[in-house]
Amino acid sequence: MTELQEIQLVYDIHAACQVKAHNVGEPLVADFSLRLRKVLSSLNRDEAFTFLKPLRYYRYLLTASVLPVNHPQLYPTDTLKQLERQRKQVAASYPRMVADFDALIESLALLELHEQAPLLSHMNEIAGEASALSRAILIREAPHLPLVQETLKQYWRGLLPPEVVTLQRPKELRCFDHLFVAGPISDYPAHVLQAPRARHLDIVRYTWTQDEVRTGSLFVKPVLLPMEREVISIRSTGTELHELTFDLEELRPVVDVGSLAQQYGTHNHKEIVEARLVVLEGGSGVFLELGDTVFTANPALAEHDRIERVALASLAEGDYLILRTEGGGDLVAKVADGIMGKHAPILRQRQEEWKGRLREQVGRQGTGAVAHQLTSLGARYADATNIRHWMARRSLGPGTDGDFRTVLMFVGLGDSIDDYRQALQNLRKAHSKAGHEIRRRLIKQLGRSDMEPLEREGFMEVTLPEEHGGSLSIYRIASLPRQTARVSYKNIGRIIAIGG
Amino acid sequence: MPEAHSSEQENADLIRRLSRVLLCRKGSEWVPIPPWARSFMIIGGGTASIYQAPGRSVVAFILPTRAYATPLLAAGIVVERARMLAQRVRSQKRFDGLWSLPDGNGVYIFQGSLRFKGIIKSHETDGCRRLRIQIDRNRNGGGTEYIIKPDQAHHLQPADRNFNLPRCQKGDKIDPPELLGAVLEHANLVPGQWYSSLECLIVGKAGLIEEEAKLPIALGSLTGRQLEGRLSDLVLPRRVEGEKAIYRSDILPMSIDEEELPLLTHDTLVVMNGAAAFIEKAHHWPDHDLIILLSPQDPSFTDAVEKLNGWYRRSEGSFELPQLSALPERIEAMTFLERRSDD
Repeated sequence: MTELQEIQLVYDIHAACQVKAHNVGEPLVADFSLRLRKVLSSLNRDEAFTFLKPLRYYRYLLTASVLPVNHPQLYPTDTLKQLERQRKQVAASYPRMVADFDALIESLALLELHEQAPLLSHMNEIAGEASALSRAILIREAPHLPLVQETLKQYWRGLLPPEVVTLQRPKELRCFDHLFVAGPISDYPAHVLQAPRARHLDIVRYTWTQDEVRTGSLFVKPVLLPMEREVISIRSTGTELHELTFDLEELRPVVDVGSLAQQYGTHNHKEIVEARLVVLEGGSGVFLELGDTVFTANPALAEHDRIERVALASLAEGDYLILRTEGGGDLVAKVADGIMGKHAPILRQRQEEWKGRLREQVGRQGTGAVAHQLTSLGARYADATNIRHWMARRSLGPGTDGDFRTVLMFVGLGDSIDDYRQALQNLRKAHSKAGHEIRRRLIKQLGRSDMEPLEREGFMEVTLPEEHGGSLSIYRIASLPRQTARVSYKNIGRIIAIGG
Repeated sequence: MPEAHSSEQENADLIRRLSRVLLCRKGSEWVPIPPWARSFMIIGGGTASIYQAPGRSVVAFILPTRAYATPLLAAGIVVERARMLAQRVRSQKRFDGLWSLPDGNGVYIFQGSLRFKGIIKSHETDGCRRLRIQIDRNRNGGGTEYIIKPDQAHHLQPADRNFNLPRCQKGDKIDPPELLGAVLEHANLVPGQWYSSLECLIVGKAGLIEEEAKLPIALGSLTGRQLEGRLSDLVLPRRVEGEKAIYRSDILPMSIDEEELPLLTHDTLVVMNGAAAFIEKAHHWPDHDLIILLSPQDPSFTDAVEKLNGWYRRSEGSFELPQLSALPERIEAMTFLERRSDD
C-alpha cells in the first residue's frame, strides 16, 4: 500500500518542478529532413514512390530517438538501395527533381555513417552539470526500451547511466530528480507536463521540431492564480539550420482512417457500423464500435485490479487493450452465448430486430430527428450519442426501461413489448455474467504471467484455457485518431495492418 | 483526559484540528498525515455546507494524482456533517426531508443503541409539525407509536425500501462508529443517534477507492489516547461497513446500472472520482452538489476539462469557498453555481 508521505513528494514536485526546453542543433539530421521534405512535396502523391514511406517513418523516429541515427532499428538500409535503383525513373519522369533526389540519397548515405546519438549526447551534457540523485530518460517508442538500455551502456559517459522509462511509467507515483524527455513534448500525453514526476523536467529536442510547451491553467476560471509554470528555453551550441522548422503534424506517421474504412467497409448498409480506429503498438490497428466496452490490463496494479472493463471513450494512449487474437468479434458476446445456450439465437434475433428497425429510421430521418421524436414520446436520454450507442450491435440497449419501451413503440414493436423486454433482460444477465467470467479468467491467467514483456515490448499473448477462452492479445495503444469511420461489422475487433 | 473545547468557533474548526492529530503509517511508525492530506480533509469539511448555496454548487480540482484524495475529502465531509448534526445545525432541514415522505413510507427509528423498523403513520400539524411513526402492529391494528418533532429529526432515517412491521420488535443493536464518536466527543458534542445516511456519494473505480479507504490511521493526542483504525472509520462507506452497520457515505462502481442507483436526499454531496466518472455518470444527479476530482493522467481528462469549462460558461459564476486557501501549491480548482432544475 502506498504511504501518504510518498504522495506528498508528488505534490511537492508538482509545486516546484522546473521545466527546461533544450533545442539541439544537428546539421546532418536537419539536412536529411529538409531534403526529404523537398522530395516528398513533389513525389508523395505518385504511387510509384510509396517506397519513400519508410523514410518518412525514419524521420519521425529520429525526432525523438536517443539511439544513434544509423542504428539498424531506425535506419532504413533497404530504402537507400531502393532510392539508388529508382534514380533512373526519377530522371525520366521528374527530370527537375533529380538534383533534390540526389541530395536526399547523399544525406541519407551520410547518416548511414553517422554513429552519433545527438539527443542522447545532449542529455549526457546536461546530466554532467547536474548532481541528480535519480535520473531517467523518457522515450516515446516503447519497443526501443531494451535497445536504448543497451546503447546507454556504450554511449553514456561518466556516472551511472539513467534509467529508461516509457509512457506507462510516469503514470505511477514514482518521482525523479531529473527526467529527460526525448523529442517534442506534444508527442507525449499531456500528463507528462501537467502532472510532472520530476523536480527538473528537461525536454531535449531538435531545433527544427520545436513545439509550444504549454503550462498555463486548464480551467477557464481557476480559483487561485497564477498557474503558469515558467519554461526556460535553452539553445544548444550545435549548428542550426535557422530556416528549418516543421509543423509536427507533417512529421507524424499518417494513419489514413478514411481509406482504411473504405478498405474494411462494405456496400451492405445493414452491416455498417460507426467505429473508431485504435492504433496499436507495432503498426497494427483495430476498429472498435462506438459505444462499445473493452477489456484493458494495467500491469502496474495488484493482481485483482489488473483487468478492467471500460468504455471505448475512456481509452487513452498507453493503455493496454485486450483483443481476441483470431477472428475479431466480441469476446463477451461469445461467452454470453455459451451461457444462454439454446436460447441464444432467438434472443439475439429479437435484439437485431429492434436495432435494425431503429437503424433504418436513423438512416431515413437522421439521428437528430429520431432523437427529437423519441424525446417527445417520453424518452429521457434519447440524445444523438445515446441513440448511436443503442443502435450499436455490441451494446445491449437503453439503460432505462422507460426509454426501451419508447424505442420499441417508435419502431413499431409496441405489441410485443414484454417479449423484447424479457429478451433484453436475459441478454443483460448473460452479458454481465460473461463479463465477470472473462475478467475472472483473465485475472487467474495474468496473475500467473510475468507482465514485464508487456511493459517492455508493448505486446503479449495470453491463452485462456477454459471453454470459449482461446487466444488473446494484449497491445499497448499507440494512438487514438479522433476521426470516426463507418466499417463493416465483421471487421470490428479484427486486428489489421495499418502501415507507417 | 480530553481537552475541553466548547465554543462554536472551535467546533467549526474541528476538521482543521482533527487533521493535525490524525496519524498515518510510515514504515512501522505512526506519523502525522502530510500537509496535502490535511488540505483535502479541510476542503472536504468546507464543502460539507455548500448545499446552503442558492443553486447547485460545483467544485472541481485538477490534481497531480488522485491517490487517496477522494476518501480524505469524504472523511472531511462526513465528520463535518456529523458535527453539524450533533450541533443540530441541520435538524430543521433534515426534518423537511422527512416531512416530504408520504404516509406509509418505511423509516428506521433510533432509540439509544437500538434501531427499530417503522412506518410513517401520519403527518400532523397541530401547532407544530410532527410525524407519527408506528413501530409494531398488534392484532387489533394498533401498535407502539412515536411522535417525532423537528428537533428530534436525528432519531429518524428514511428506509431504502418499504417493509411490513413485525408484531413485536426488540430492535437491532447498533454499534456506534468508535473513531467518529471519539472525534465528536472530543469537541464536547453528543453525537445523538447513530443513524445511517448518505452525506456523500463517491462515484468511480469502486475497488480502488475501497482499498484506499482501508488506509490505517490513528487519532493521536486529540482523544488523550491513541485510537487506531482505518480511514473508512471516518468515511463510513456502506460498501465497506455493510448494510446493517452505521454508514454515512457510499462508493458507487462505474458499472452500476441506472436501476441500481441509491436514493439520495437533496443535500447528499456527489463526489466524482476521475474524468470517466464525471463524463459518464454526472448526468444521473443534475440537481445535486458536485465535487469533481480530475488528474491529467485520467483517460478523457481533456474532454472532462472541456465539459467543465462549458458548464462554467453557462453558470451563474464562481462562489467563494474559504477552505480552498488550504490547497497545495499549484493545484487548480474551479467553483461555480448552476441553477437547480427545480429552482
